[in-house]
Amino acid sequence: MVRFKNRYVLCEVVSEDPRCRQCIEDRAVGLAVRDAIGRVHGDFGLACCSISFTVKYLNAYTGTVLLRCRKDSYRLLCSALPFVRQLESRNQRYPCFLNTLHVGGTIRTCQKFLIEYNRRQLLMLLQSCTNEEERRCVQKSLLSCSLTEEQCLSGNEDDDDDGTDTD
Amino acid sequence: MRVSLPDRCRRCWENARAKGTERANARQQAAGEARNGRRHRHINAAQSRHCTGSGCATEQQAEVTSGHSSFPASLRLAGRCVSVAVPCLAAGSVTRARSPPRWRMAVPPLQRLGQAPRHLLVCEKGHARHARSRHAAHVRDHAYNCRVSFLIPECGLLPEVLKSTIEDVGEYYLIRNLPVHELVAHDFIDAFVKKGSCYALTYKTKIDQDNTAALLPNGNLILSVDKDTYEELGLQGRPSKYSGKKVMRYIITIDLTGCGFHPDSKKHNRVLWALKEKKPLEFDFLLAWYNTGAEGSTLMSYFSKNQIEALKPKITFSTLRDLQCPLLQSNELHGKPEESCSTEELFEWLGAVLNQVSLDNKSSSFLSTYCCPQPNTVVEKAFLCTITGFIIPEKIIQLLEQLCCYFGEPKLAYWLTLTVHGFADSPVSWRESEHGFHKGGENLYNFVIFRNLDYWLQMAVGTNDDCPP
Amino acid sequence: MALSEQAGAAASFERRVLRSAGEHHYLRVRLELPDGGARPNVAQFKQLVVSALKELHGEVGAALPVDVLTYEEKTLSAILRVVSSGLVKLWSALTLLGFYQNRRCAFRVLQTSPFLLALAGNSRELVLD
Repeated sequence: MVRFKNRYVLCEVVSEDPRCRQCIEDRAVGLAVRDAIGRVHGDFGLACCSISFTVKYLNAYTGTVLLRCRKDSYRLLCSALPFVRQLESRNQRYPCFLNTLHVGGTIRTCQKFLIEYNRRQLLMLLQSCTNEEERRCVQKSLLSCSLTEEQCLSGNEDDDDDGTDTD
Repeated sequence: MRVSLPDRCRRCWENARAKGTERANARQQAAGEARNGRRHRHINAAQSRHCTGSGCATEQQAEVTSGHSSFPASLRLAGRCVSVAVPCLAAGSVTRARSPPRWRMAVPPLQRLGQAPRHLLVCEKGHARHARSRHAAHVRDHAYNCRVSFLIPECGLLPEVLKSTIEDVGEYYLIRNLPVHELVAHDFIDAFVKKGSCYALTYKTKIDQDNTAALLPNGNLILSVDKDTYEELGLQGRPSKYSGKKVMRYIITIDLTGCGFHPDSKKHNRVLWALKEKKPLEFDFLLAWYNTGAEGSTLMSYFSKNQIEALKPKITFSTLRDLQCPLLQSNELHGKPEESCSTEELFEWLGAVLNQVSLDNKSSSFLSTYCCPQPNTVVEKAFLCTITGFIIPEKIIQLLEQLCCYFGEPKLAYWLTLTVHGFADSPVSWRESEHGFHKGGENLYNFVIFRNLDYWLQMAVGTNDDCPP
Repeated sequence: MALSEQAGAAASFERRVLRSAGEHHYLRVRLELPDGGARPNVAQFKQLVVSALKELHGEVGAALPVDVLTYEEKTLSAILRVVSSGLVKLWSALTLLGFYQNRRCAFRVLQTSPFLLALAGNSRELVLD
């Protein structure tokens, strides 16, 4: 019995247009990535990546996307990600790009990385705060982080939302 | 809203993770059980072997490595296995090197996309007049040649000596539907095989799908047959080197001139019976015979009952005008930047010349970017001669000698080349080293003879071949 | 004098073994088209090869350096040169190409070799009269 090995690619959708957020959904992201793979690697590459390819997790508010594909073909997938230029849903199309954050073998490592990444982002936000109100708000949410992992995650993402909102 | 959002996210995350872990757990369990069962079996087997006293280390090693990750599972087995498990582990560290490396088992399909079949190019340099020079031996060892071509730069008209040598290349014979047992008959062996060099090769048989036979001048008859034929024949052979894990091709070698092969010997009768009655094999044969001594009966008269035709090699001449030739230095196999070209550059250039490829392309050209290696000179005219047929090595040696003599008189040319192509479907390449087709079946060699009689020899083989001698 | 020169030259026997060192692979191919209709010229032929690569292997495949060394418009046969790592890609793309200008077509790969010289003598095409 051999386990099928997967790779999970953690990336974030970056767009200048705030309306792009409503486009971030499983189908739209999946289609955009597939389209890019088809363009860059052709029918063969698309077929390779399509084995067990799926959008595993998606957060429309933070723009975090977790993609899954087979271990054999993750290079094809990663090399095609920079060629995603727009997301399209409900006949609306917004320019954006995907920023690859991490490639991991399990969802767990991706999650760990995301927590760490968000924590670092938070510190950066703290440093770039402009007024006292903001700073206090961010600090408060930072302190509200507890030690257990799950809560920490929720707290983090909460903060992240806060941060981006105040931006 | 703000409170509910992260909750949703968290649930998403957990769902995603739970799905993954659940599946992983299930898989692990199933795998564990499977391994457990296997391990149980193995240990029983190992134990019984252990009891008989023959500790087969490699077997034990295999089970240790395969069951390594499920070691705790094995602990659950009854205590009786402990006495076995301990020596197993001890033996494991010793014999680890013997188990096959894991990387060789499977190449991921995407990696295979970028791999090309392996090939070999052997380059030698030496002096043609040196006492221990092996260049003639290399020619003699390559028995079956289908095309010989030579290129002489700065030469418009061929010297008479060379012309007569070319015409003397000699005829060969094509016999249709010749039963193989006729080659094993003692009349044939006494009349031809023992009295000179007899070359025979099946015609229009493909080495990767058909049965093939070849008779070497040293008296060895080589049959390369598929598995079904091999089993029907009932002659002793060995599995082919290149037929993979599941052997589908066998090589049978019969020494016709050996001491055990006299008439009425058991071996001779067996071979004759196998080829005559058990599994009669028939092929179209290309035949050539070379003898130095007195003329005996000829192949033509011996095989007069069969469909035999005598064929002459096809000879074509052509003169190439304004040819770009690379500069070469006989003592620089690697070539020197700005001064001379290397052997592999010359090899490619020669291929381009023989295939009439245009040699001056711009680097920005859409069609082709191939150009003549640097540095080069333009020669006004070059003479190219091609001989196609079933050409025996003795004649090639003669031709090579004559080409060496070409530089006896002062000439403008600094070097000349002699190229010999082998048969892609012959069962041997050099000597008796096995030859297979794989993707191209190439076996060829090329001589570059310099004015001072230094020579370069380039021998090229494809994937299913040994290294040339 | 001549003798010593000979000895000096012969003493420098040297042997180089190049294992899979060839940078390129060569293919002899023939394009099969239904009778009648336009035949591609060299540039169109190359374009066809590139489009075949683009279809199967995308823009990455289309960027493979492929050279058309010789092309005969009469027989539609050509010799292609490709970097060794792209051999499988090129071969598969040619195999899976089915149309030229909305007409059915097929590529036949007649011979392939890491040595251009080997394409000059194909014993399988040896015809004896």
